[in-house]
Amino acid sequence: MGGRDYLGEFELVVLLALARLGPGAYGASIHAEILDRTGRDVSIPSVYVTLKRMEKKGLVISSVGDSDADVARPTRNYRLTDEGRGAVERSRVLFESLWDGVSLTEGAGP
Amino acid sequence: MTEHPTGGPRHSGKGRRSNGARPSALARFVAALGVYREDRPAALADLAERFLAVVSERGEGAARRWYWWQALRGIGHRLVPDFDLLSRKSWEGIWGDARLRGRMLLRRPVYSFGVLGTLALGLASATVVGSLAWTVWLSPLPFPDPDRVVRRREFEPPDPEAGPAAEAARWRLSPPLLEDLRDRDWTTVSAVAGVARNAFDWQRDGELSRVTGISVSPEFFEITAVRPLHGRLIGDDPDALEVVLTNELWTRAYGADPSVVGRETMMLNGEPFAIVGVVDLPSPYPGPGDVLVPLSWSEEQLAAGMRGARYLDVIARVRPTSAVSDAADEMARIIEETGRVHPNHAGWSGDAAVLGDELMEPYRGVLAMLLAAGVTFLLLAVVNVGGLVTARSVEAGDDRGVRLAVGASHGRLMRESVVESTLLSASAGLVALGLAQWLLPAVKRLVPADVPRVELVELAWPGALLVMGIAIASGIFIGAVSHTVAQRTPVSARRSRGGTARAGGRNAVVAGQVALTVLLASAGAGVLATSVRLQRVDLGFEPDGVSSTHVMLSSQRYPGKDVRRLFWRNLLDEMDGRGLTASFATSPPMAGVNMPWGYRIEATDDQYFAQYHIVSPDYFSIIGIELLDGRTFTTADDENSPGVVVVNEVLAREHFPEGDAVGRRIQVVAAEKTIVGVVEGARHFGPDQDIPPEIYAPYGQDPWPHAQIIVSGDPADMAGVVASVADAVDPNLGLPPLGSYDRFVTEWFAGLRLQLVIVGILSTLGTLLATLGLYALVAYRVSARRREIGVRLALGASASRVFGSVVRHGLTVTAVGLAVGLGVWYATGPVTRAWLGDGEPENAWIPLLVAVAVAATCALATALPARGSVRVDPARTLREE
Repeated sequence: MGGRDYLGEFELVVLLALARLGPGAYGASIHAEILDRTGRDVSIPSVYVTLKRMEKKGLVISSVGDSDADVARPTRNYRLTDEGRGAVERSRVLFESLWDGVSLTEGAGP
Repeated sequence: MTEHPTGGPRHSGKGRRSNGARPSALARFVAALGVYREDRPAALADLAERFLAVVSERGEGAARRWYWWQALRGIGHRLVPDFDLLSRKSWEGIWGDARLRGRMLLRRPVYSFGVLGTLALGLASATVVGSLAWTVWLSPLPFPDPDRVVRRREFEPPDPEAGPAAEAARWRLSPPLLEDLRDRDWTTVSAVAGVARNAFDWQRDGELSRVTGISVSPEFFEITAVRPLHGRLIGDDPDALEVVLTNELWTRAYGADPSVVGRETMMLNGEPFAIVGVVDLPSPYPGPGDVLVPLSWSEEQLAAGMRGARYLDVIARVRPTSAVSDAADEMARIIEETGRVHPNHAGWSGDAAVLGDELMEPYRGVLAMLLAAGVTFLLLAVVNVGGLVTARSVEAGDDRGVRLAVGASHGRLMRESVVESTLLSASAGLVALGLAQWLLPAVKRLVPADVPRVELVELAWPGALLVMGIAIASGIFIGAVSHTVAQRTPVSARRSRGGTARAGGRNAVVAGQVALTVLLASAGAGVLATSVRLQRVDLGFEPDGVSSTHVMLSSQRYPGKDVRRLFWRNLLDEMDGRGLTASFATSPPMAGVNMPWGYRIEATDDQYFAQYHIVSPDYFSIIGIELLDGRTFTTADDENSPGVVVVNEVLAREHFPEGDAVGRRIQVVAAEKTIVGVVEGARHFGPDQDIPPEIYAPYGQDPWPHAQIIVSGDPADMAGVVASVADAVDPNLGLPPLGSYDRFVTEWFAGLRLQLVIVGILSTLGTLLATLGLYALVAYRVSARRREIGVRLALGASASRVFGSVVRHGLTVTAVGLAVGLGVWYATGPVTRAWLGDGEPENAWIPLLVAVAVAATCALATALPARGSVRVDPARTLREE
């Protein structure tokens, strides 16, 4: 499979949340971050499924419970890879170049 | 995307203590399905953490709903990436797919109908047996606290000759015994009620009809919590002439007119009963009826000698503070005490059993078996359809490659696969509901009418929703699995180890189905063979060419032996006068009346049991029971002549092996009588049962209030004459219509036929499913190996050789299945055979014939898809390489 070189909307949301949280981010904290920032109560299982798919594409990397010693339960921590950072960056460039010069006020248009 | 803010503070502290609130186990299970296995512990822990946060923000109920949403959305997302249950866009995409895939399915009608039909059959069979099992077996009795309503059981003294294995019969109670029980201070039981069923003649506007009465003591209403719909219940006075109508009779006969209550009377057995109320009779206990009347008896019925007249059911409610086992212990103690006071109860034992369990006991095994069969068939249908869909997906592998190349995502293809199979399975669900709705009335007619609550069986909407839910879930499952398998099945001949293991699993499933088919079909053939053999059994009487009807004399109008004797004498005289060859008997063969009675031989003390019949003189010749020795009865055998009996050959052989029964003395019904004749034995309980010992007494010496009147000739020719005779003797007799006597035999075989139909349906369904499973297995293998086959053909392998290798696989699986099926059949021997309804050792050759037929069907199911292998075009394969 050739694979897409752009990110899906949800993938981008999850990656950005990861980027904001830094190392040590895990499912519930990613969920809370998205909820805090966007008001969207996304599904935690969906976050995990998306992370798993992005891990296969090499965008994120996970490790089992290597931080937060006070959490006495299983966690899986995620962080961005270089490739993941690159993908987020490419998305931004893509969107910024598209947004450049766009005005949505009435009467204006392409 | 719809937004779903939780509001309030966001982060709950990590490691926060639980206040006891937890999402349900089912919700956690569903949530676990939404994530990959290695992520499950972490994801569930995260969900639990957020759950507690939501509990503190919005309360427990909202948190539970939140958890379910999380779980369900997770599954959707896992199956179809970028799919969100809350997103309208996702649903629009699904709808677009559904239309597209629907059109494509219509272009492949054979495949589509194969899948739809198989699933529909599986779902319909599960629906029918599920509805049956739910209403008849699994739903509680309509009483408050039904597990505390018990029925008293008693067991007759064990027969030392029969050994401990022979279960003693269950008996009802006599009025004196019930009075003993009601007078007692019970510690474990709060109320004891007697219930008896009887028939009444109902005279209304000069018309006479029969109604079914249920006589109850006042405690009945306390135990069952039956409340009046109109008016009131029967009062405490057992002798009051009061009647409560059942809703059914009230509607049928009075048009549900409320003004009859408290105003009209019913003439029952010639006496005016005031209508005091209307009730809904609980089902299945005490069973269908028209009227409820007070349970009452005369002094004569309470006499010490009547302790053996057992016709009452006794039910009781166990106190909330006691266990059912305590009540059973107390019952047992009382029965023991009664045995010490009244010698004719000595040796009896007893207990109390939960009424619901008691009523269901004879049917539980069959229903459990049917339910298991229904579920198994549904699972097999899903597995086999899954196989077929997978084979199809693998075959469509090239198309998928092209679609991926032009930019479709795997998620999109997965979505299409799930939508297509769900479309088929949901349609199958609808077809199954229609099929079940259509089949249920037929199935209800097949089920014997004495199965409790069978009349209430219906397809209710919760059941229908469940069926649709199962259908849709199966569709999603099949679509997801077939897509995943197809994606992992390389188009070339590469085979991973995992693939082989999966193939091994599927081989085993198909082989198992072949084995199951052999078992079911063998049982079916066995029942058929048994049925044919039983049709030829000598019944010991001649049911053809005679007609019969039932007479029941009311105890109010025929209170004593003398009036009853007079009635029977008049009846016979009147019949004779009109040129009829007529007789009667209290319990003629196969008419469903069981009258075991104790007897002793001459001066010995040992008590034995025999079927006791009261008959008129010509009975033996009319019913075709042959006289072997001595004489039968004459009109001279009456109350003024010495007591005489006729016994059958079984009794005579057992006690008088020298052949000298005639002239010997026998003690029966508290009097010593002389044996004057020996007759041939009749198969009283049906052709598969042994002939019991039988004692016949002349009606002149012991006139009973009920009997079957048996007349030579066809019912159509005799009905008018018999009715006018009855009218002449007693215009209020209310005689049921005359029927041909062989109806009893036909009815008996109806039970066997039901068994035959059930096993027949099961084995047909099993064969269909196994055939389809085998077809799908071979088709999958051919699709998956197409390229390999193409290469082999290109390299010079002959078509027949390639065909052979494919067929060999299918036949190997079949052979393993046949071997297992036959092995199980012969190894488990009589156990399986009896369980499946075939106890005939001489039918041992049947499974071999069945195996041959199954093998032929399976060979066909293998050969059809295998033909696909030789149609592979090697040139095309090589071009693709």
